[in-house]
Amino acid sequence: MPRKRDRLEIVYTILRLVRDNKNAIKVTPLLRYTNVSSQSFSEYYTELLEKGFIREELDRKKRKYVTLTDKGFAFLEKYAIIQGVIDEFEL
Amino acid sequence: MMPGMSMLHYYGPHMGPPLPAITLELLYLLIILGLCAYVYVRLKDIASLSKHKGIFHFSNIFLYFGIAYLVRSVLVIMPLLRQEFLIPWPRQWMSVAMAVVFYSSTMAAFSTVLAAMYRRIKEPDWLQLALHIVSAVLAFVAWLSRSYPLLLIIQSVIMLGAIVAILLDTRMHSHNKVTYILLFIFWLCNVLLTARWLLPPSSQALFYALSIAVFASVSFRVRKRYAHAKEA
Repeated sequence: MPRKRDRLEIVYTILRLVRDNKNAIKVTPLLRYTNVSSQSFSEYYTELLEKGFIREELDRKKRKYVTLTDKGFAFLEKYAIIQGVIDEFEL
Repeated sequence: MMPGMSMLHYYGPHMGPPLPAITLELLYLLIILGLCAYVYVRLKDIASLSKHKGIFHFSNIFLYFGIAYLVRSVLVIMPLLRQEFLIPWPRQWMSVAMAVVFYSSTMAAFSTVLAAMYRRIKEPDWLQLALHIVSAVLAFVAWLSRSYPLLLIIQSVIMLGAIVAILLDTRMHSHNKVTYILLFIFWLCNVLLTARWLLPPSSQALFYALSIAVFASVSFRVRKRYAHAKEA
């Protein structure tokens, strides 16, 4: 049975999915690829929006899609360091 | 009050001429402060990005120890400057400095407990504020009493509690437990040296070197993680 992912891993997964989809992905496919319950996803999504890691934009057909902010890119860059420090000091 | 433990003891003769002692203290302060600042700034950056409580509490250990070591060095250096260069150093400032040292080192101890225990306890929103208030109250007691023995006893109890919490954490490996415990032990040794109590002044350089080694090992491990991430 796959182990439960912690909060940071899920946040990393969401942000990486946005980045890997050319920094523009609709919410529904993002939920599907993240592989968490819709309630959990909604909580993470709201938190990432409020904390400025992602933002919502509208395309020419007024469809909503998600992109990363600079903060979101910074998190992805530093994720390896974050995990490294957590592992090193067992935090 | 124990013999030799009054505030006057502070202004008593120190071992050796003042200038080398001042130089040693300044050098020690700069190194410790530099190491604490490096660890704090690096960890604060990723703590604010990740909102990880463990990293947040761990970074605060070095923030508070940095402040404590800085003001502790002032407590040691100012009487020496007064002796050598007749720079005035009012007694009231000594007790205020003691209170700041007490507050920040107590917060460092609490931060260590939180870093070790945050996964086991559901941290309420008011906990940080409560710990600041407790540290401030204890600092006020230190300011009123102007007593290093009292400071040592209270801090030893707090740090013993922190050590017990760390030892009870079965998840943590021994090398990290040793790091936390050494941080506390050498802090208490620094306080003993500042008060010129129990530890002979001739052991000062040895304890300073060992303290630096503990902080250096933590900053080296933080730097290593940054380096590994860059390579990847």
